[in-house]
Amino acid sequence: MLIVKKRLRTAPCYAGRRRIKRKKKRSSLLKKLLSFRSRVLRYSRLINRRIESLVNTVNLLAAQVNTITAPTQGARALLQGRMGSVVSIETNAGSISGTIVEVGVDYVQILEPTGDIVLIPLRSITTVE
Amino acid sequence: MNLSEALGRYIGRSIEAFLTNQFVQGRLLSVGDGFFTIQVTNPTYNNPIAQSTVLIQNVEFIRILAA
Repeated sequence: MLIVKKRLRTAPCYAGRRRIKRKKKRSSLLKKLLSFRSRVLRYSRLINRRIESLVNTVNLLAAQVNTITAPTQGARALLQGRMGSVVSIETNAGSISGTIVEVGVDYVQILEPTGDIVLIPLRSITTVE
Repeated sequence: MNLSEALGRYIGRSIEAFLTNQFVQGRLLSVGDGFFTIQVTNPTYNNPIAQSTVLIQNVEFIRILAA
């Protein structure tokens, strides 16, 4: 009987200690969650800023590429419209006659009647007939 | 595809490269970024050079001879 009483006395104290421990766990967990959330927000802001700067860089590079390729874009479109037709192309080194086979980024490929293939850079073309 | 890549398809073929004031004929050995190398078939006494590296920026046009 004495032993039982003793156990009953100790039980509430032990239960109280448990409750205190549970309260501590909840507050520390909440703090951790809040700090994690703030870190995630900070990193996402940093990443967004980085993405914006990269987008600006890409736009600048695209504009530079357009200024470089702009003089030949018209010639490229003209030759692509005449794909498969017989043309005579004048350059500073001579005249080439044949069928347009392929138009690349900066060149045109001509198939001559003899079977020879001629690669002409678009910047070398003076006239197209 | 750019000119260097298109020319790379014809490695080993006989080609004629027309520059502004020069003409080079030979077998295409290799193509790099902005240049290509030719094994010259008819070197002269004044220019007995066997291999010639030509810058594509100076080329007016390139003829690949039919096989």
